[in-house]
Amino acid sequence: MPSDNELMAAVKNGDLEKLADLYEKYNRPLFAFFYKMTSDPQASEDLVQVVFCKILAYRDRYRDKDGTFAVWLFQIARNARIDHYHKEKFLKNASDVDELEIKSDSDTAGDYERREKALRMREALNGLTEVQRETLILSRFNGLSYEEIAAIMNCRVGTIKARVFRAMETLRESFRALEKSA
Amino acid sequence: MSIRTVVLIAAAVAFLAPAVPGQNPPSEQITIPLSLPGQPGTLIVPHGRGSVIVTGYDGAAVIVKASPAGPAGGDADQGARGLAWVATGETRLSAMEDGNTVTVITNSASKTIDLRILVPRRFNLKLSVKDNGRIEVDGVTGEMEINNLNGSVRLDRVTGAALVNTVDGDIVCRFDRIPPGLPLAFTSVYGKIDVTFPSDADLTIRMKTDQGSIFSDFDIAVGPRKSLSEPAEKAGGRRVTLEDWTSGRIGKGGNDVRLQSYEGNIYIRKSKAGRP
Amino acid sequence: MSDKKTERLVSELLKGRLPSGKEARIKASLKKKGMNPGRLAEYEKLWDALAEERVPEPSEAMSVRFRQALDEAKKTGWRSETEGAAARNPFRRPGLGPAPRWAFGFSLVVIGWFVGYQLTPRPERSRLEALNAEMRDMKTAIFLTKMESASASERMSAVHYAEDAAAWDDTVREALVRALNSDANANVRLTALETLTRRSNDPRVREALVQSIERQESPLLVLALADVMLALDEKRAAEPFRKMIADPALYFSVRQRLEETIRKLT
Repeated sequence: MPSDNELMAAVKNGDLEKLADLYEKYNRPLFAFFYKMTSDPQASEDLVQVVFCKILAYRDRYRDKDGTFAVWLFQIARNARIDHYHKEKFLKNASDVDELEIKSDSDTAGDYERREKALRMREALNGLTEVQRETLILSRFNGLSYEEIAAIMNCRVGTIKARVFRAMETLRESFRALEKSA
Repeated sequence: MSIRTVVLIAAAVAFLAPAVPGQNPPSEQITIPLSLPGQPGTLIVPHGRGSVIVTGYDGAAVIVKASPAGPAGGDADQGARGLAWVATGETRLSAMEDGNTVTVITNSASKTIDLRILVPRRFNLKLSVKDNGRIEVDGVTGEMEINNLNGSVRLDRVTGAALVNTVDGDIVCRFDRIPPGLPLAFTSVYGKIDVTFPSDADLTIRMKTDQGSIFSDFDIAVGPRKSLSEPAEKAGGRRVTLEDWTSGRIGKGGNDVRLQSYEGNIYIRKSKAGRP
Repeated sequence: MSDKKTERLVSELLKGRLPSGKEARIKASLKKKGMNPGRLAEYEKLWDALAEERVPEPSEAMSVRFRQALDEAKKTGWRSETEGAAARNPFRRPGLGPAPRWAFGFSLVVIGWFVGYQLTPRPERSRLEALNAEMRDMKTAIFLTKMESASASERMSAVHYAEDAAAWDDTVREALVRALNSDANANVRLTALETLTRRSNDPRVREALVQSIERQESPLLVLALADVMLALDEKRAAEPFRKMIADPALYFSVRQRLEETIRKLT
């Protein structure tokens, strides 16, 4: 099973087809990252395209060292998302989240409860700063270590850990508040 | 990436030695090793006056030899009768190498200096000459951007995408092979254009010559004469016709090839030699 | 209540995947620092809950688009934007020069425009039509990126590509005009001229062509422009051509040609 670096080296060398292997591996994690940040499935799909487009265009800039492909990938992903959203604040309110509110007849009590919880989580996440949200999402998913996330976000590992803590603390407080108002 | 500047250390014959008639003008030579030996690179020679002759060889460094050119034959300088030309050898040859891109600089803006350069066979070339010289390339594979304002260009046994351009010089090119993908172009005002392609090439050709004629021994499937214009709009646009291009297909069609001269003829030849 | 060390320990604990000894040690340290175990449990519960919102499956179209884009890139022999030595070389011929800082931003703008186009709400289109539109947008984005290339062959290929594939709009037109006026390679400029000439019914193209005359030094371009102006019967070209004739260094046959062109235009 070739490593990310090996695949990327092949792409740099002109074997563009190898990019498809990288797409296989990373398209879902990337989509998930974008979806968690934007709640917009269509935009998330578009952003995945943008990321792979940029990988192609700037492939010569990639310098391979161990474990750097995922870092480079998510750096591109972060920038792509920021570029296209810095004008519009794409914070979806709970009320905008249509897909979560679609009721269906096959809704069991379990489904409904799950949806409720997800809505509350969404609302709580919206209370975080964008950077906190990003850090949290990158930490929780995508299998990236704190060191890798520090490299992606261009800051120190200590900063990442502190940020994660403060985000969790904020979540904890907003859930308590939500629970009280429930 | 560090830029390496390789500066000539005078390695040749003493320059101001008394000239002996018939002696070759002294030259300066430098060898430029590559950062990534074995990998393709690029040679850039923004030359002023003099010839640039590039030959591919099976080595891993770029070797440059610069010679001041003697006075042009037939120079009727009466005052020089009975005297031999003394070469003052100030070519100020120097080169920069950075990540396999080699740039060669000399004093050619003011003096006519001939360059002979050996490059590894897989190398891209960006060569330009203003005056007083010809450009020749032999046995190189890569992308080539070649400009000679007032002199000729000759490419022999080359493989790759070539963009060649002269004002007043003939263009003669012989390709071993043309890798699919990138376009080729050969353009001149006064010069003739004489290109030889491998007999099994697949090319999409556009040719135009104002005052010359076009000859070929290929079976070029010539399309209907097309003019560069948009169909006239209904609301009174004018149909524009320009000097028609002759377009055609060699083989199955493929790389875009553009051949244009104003006063010269265009010759498109099929290479007789078998493919290696 | 929390200090830097506590914060760090909590984050490390949550991240998990620790060797078993370490996890116990962290829990012990936290306990020693007075971290309420109930509070810690809440953090852990929330950390788990973060994973619960299920991410929907992306549509099939996403992979289709990727495959199309990849095939397109392979077909056009799309070379990479090399942050090459050539670009930083001070002896390089003037012209497009090293990819300027703005070029990176420009590409982002291009891609941003492409994506932005997708993001603006639009009435439902048939799926095929939508895919076609996306391909067109992608092709224009590819064209614009290739035009930034340090390789003249790439830029030449981009102009050819624009003839066939890219939709005609302001950005494409402006990129071609820029190429006509300032590309380092004469062949690229000539091809850009031809592509623009095909669109000469657009008044902005004609305007740009007339203004280009003064910027051309190569006799090849001047002659080509003279042909075009004559065919378009563009009388505004007479003035810049006249200025050119005033240059004593002008090639004789170019001067002849221009004089003839001016005569026919006026």
